[in-house]
Amino acid sequence: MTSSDHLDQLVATARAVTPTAPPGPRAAVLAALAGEPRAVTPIIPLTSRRPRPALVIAGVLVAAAAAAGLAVALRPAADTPTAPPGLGSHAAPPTAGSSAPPDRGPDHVAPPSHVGASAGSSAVPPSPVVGTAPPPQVVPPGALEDMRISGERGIKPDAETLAAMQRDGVTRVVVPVKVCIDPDGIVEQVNILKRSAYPTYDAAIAAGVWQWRYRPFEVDGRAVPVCAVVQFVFSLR
Amino acid sequence: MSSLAMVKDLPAATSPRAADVEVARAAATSREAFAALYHAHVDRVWVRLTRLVGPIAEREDLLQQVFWQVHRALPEFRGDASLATFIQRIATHVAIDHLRAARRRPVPASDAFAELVPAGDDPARQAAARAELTLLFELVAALPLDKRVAFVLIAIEGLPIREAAAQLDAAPDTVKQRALAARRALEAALAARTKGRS
Repeated sequence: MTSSDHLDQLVATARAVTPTAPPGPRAAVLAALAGEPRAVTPIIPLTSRRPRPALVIAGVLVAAAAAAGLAVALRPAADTPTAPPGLGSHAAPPTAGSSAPPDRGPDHVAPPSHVGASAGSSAVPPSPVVGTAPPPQVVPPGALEDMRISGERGIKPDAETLAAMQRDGVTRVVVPVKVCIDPDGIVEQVNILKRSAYPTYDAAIAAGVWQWRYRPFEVDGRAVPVCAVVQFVFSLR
Repeated sequence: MSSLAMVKDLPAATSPRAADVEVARAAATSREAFAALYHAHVDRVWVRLTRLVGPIAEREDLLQQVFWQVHRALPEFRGDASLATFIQRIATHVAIDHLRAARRRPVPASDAFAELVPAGDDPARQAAARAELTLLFELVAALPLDKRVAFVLIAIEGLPIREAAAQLDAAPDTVKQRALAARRALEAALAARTKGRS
């Protein structure tokens, strides 16, 4: 047999091979499609520091699910301190004529004036997203949470809000918040997707999230801006 | 009236490309439509990835990466090519990026090829097929990346040169020359092996 014939034989064998995708990756992608990002974890651990495709696919759908109130809950710890005082005034209520860029949505919350200074860069609030830049990828909350290096996670209502909740007979408040970070890991956008009936608590959450700081989120070795939907759940016991 | 003119006179919605654009538009906005698109194309993508990168474990990541990129690219699909070509092109580039990032990765172990050989054959034929696949992937992996990809697309996938060129963003003559050069190199490598054994 000549080498040409031998090669033809090898190619014919390779051509005859038509493997089908095994159920593992099929299930992972379809679970993501169904808005069940946790079903993906056996294949792609959420603790991975580098975002994997399945997480990103799940992220797209988590964002959609978040709008329907399906995002993964992030419960504040019972023994964590309350939000720093005086933060309520920093969270601007949504207004039709907001100065926020159009792609930030009506519930974009302006950063407190001290955020830039505390982040160690400058006192100037994060600049608006440039129109030509690609939109940040949306990743699952767990993937972004793994990258968080500072900032208070458990944000509780102040005493006045707690009293108001008790008076209203409200035992549970859920506030989904969309957080976007820039390639340096600095929060550059905070949107409260669904406000509670307690503006002071919403403002405390927004101000607390502005304090969060992350490690740069890398995709293929390059730091990229990303967003995630974090859900605050406060329960009165 | 020529047949070409008749085709041009057909309403846009009846052409396969227009149907593909509709499918892409639906899949870009609807989970169910995207799931249907995924089901329709996942096996072809898996085959393309397997042939380009070999039966490696990372294919699962690559598969997910392909469909993630497809999901992001669907709004830009204009029907310049068929939707299948569009998806396979993304799969090809995902595989190329992976190969480029892992140039010195060893060829998969021969037992990894077992999954590619259809079950039910007699053991001797299975072993022979496994050995042939191992040999081919070993030889192909030694080729320069551009020649390797051109050879796989044209010789193994059986794509017409023009389509392979479109998928690689290269001129048809260039891709043809790459595939021919790859074939010559593979034949030389096989001849050298035969010579070494005798």
